[in-house]
Amino acid sequence: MIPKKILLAEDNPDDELLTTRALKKCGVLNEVDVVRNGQEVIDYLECTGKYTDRTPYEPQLVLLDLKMPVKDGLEALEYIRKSDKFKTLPVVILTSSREESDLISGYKLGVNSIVCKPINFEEFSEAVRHLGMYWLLINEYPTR
Amino acid sequence: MKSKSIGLSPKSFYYGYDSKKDLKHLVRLVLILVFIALLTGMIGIWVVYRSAHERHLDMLRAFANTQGDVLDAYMLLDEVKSGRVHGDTPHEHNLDNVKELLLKQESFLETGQLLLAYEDTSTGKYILIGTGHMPSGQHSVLVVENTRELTPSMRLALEGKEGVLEGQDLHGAPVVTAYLPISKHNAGLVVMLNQSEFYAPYHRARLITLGIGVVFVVFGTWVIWSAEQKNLRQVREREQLIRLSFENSAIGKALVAPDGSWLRANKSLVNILGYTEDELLRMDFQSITYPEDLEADLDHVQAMLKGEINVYHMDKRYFHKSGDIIWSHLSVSLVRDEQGEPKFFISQIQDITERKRVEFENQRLHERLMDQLSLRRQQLDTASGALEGFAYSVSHDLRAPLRAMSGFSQALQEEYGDKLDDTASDYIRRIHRASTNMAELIDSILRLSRTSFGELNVVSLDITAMSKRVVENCRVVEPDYPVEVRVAPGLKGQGDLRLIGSVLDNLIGNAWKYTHGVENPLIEVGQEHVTLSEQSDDSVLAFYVRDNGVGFDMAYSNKLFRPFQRIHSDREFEGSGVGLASAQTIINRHGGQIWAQGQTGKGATFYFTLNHTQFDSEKNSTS
Repeated sequence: MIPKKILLAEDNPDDELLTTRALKKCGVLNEVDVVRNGQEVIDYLECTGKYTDRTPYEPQLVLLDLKMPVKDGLEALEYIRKSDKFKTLPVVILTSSREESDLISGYKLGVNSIVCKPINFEEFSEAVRHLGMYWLLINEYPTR
Repeated sequence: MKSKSIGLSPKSFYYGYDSKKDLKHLVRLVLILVFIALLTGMIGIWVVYRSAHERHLDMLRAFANTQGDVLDAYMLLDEVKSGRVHGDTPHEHNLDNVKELLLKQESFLETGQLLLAYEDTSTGKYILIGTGHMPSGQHSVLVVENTRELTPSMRLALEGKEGVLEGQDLHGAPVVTAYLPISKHNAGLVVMLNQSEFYAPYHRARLITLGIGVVFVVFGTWVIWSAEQKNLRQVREREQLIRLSFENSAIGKALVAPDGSWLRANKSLVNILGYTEDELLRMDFQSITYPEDLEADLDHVQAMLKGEINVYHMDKRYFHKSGDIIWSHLSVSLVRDEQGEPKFFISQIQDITERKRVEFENQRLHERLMDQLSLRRQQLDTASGALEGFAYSVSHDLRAPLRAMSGFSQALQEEYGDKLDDTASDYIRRIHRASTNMAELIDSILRLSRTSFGELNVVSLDITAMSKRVVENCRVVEPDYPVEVRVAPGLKGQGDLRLIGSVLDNLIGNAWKYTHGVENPLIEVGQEHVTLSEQSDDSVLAFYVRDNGVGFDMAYSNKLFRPFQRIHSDREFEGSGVGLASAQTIINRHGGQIWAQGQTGKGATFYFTLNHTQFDSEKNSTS
């Protein structure tokens, strides 16, 4: 059985820990693989770079932070949506930005959802819980 | 085409006066007048002469008749006395007696002669008896062979004819004669007067007339001459006036031939261009025109020669004799002759080099200023961009550690709460609250920065509807709050929908907030004229949001609009402290003003205008 993994792209270890903790607390038990920037997202998916030896399977869900070094979340999203292989992959942007321009570019590039990271941990947990539930359990997407 | 071919002598044509030509004209005029005077005089004299002449001839004839009658009477008397009234050969004797009588008679006047001739029947010769200067003496008798030796008048008399005749006597002297026959005695009588004597009065009259005529002509000539001279002097003065005003005009003036040659240049022009007039007259304007300006000038010249334009003005450059470039303002008009052919241009040339220099300097200055301005704008844009980027970073990067603080304090509380005592839990709560507050501050900074940047999208605004919407939103949040809100109808303005909406959010939200705890809370939104200062009567039509809430101390009014300045403590009223600051930023960006009036415990009124044009138009319409 293919493990239903979640790919989390997050350069901030604090946010990473909070996100994974929130997911766990909400009962999302899927394994979370963490990458540090947009380039690593691409490498992870394509099994290139430092992920050459990774067992090639697609994650169930990609959680993208926007502001990351090397390549940011929008660049990674653009790559995913342009790739024939990954364009159906559910991608959710997790961001602390409330800039309209970020939201608009995100949706234009075909993101499935954008969730603002609230400061308040309860709200944050709630958001993550909804996300995990929706994209991992509720949402139906094409089987390959 | 050469300039001189237009028939103008450059030096004199504009005087309009040629002394030689005018003198000729004058002489001709005088001659004509003299001729007319002489002709009239001569005709007059001739008419008088003719009538006098005839009368004198008549008198001569009458005298001859008288003499004839006298002779007749004498002979008749002689016959009666001698009793030979009807004799057979009476007349010889009688005539002999007459001869005696005639010979006794003195000549009349000075040269007057009385002549009697008859045929001596016995000899067949003609006997001529005369008084006066006969060839043979004072009084003489001449016997001639036939009538051919007699004068023509005597011959006519002997033929029985009567009349007057001018001719010669037997000496060949010119004479005037009257002749008649004495038919009774077959004799002829001739009265003869020398022409010199006969015509002497005419000669005298002619001399006197001539003298008077000459006097008249001379006098008339003098009168005409002096009148003409006076006229000429006036013309000359007028010409001189024109010439002097041309010569001494402060503006450079020139007359230019249709081909561009200078015909005349005044002192100012000579000063402007540096060439003497004589030097200029050997050149044309083209040769000293700055090449770039030549085409435009020639275009104008052509248009003018074709009659398309009557005058033209242009700024153009000439070369000074020294080679310097002279900026000038040129005004040109064209003079045409009677046939409509172009005669010459009148060019007025003003030296505007200094003005142009100042203009150029101003332009340079202006350009430099604009450069500086655009540089400043660039710097400002850069600064704005940097600030925007900074605000963006702040909102993102500062939030992450806060999230960590808040999140992990929460996690600590959740997972290890049972192991912590109350004090530790309190600390954790404080960390959590502080991070939440800071997050709000960051959001506020971001909001404030958003109001300061970005395009203004100015549209027509329905302030009334916008205000009502804000009130509705407030009521959704707090449906049970018993506040009365009055929004005046028909409030209109111009502004950015989102930003002005935010201002209204803020002002109405504040009013909503600060009326909590007063009796009968009331919020009013409207528009009224407000006097700006006590010194002036100027008033503006301003929107206002008024409440009867806690108000504020006017001493702090200047602090109201500063960011993060709060008059009321957090405990009493929630708020981040940037609402009014961003409202002010927005209103200022709209070119309007925002200010507040209030009193502690008696409510507050916030006024704002959207732009100054509104102020002006309102002022005009109300005054």
